[in-house]
Amino acid sequence: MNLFRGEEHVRRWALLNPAAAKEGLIPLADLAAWFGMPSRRHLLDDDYLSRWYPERDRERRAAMERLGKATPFWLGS
Amino acid sequence: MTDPRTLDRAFQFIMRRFADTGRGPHYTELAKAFGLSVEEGRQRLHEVVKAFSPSWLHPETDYLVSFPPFHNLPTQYRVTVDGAQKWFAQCGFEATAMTWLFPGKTVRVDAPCLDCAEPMAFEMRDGQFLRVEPGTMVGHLNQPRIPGKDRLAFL
Repeated sequence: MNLFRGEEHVRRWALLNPAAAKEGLIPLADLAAWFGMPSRRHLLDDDYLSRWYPERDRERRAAMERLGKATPFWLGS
Repeated sequence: MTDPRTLDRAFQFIMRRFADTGRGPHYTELAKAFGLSVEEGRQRLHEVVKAFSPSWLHPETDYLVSFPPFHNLPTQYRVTVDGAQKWFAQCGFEATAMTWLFPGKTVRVDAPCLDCAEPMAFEMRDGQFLRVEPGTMVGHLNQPRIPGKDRLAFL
């Protein structure tokens, strides 16, 4: 779960998993949208762990569907 | 089993300690803050880490290592707020969530590219990008996700 200067840098990375060379890419703006969902925005709420944290799986699926990444690679299973 | 409100309070103590200082607390501090015995504080830390994935302790210790989006050990994702670089992000993805821990402030993330070691940086405020250098910066997941084992993605 890393950042690179560009797609060509990912392809040149010494530790690249070839199976993830293309499917593992995600634009920075999409990352910010995913990590800007409510379960991240409320990290400082007093009831975060009981109220917001349980939303993460549902949010992940929703984000991946919206980003066209609702695949086993990104969602597991 | 500890009730959810108690875990909520312990969670906030840890998260706010990271946000305020850049470091997570030791379990003795949890114990003192909540009027627990030292052993109860240690157990409380373990309970919170178990309830909040992907956070983790250093293997075979009671030392808190990762509490996303924060990381207690240096990573390549250095976070600066108000001119002070006190924080590290757990990973590049979580680095984009740092903005939510510092409302109203400009949060800067600096990191070297793992391919070439040349610098990258972005700045965000309240979830909006203010600056991205280079503009071609991308995220990358190198291993398929395994539910319940999100920590594997960092290794």
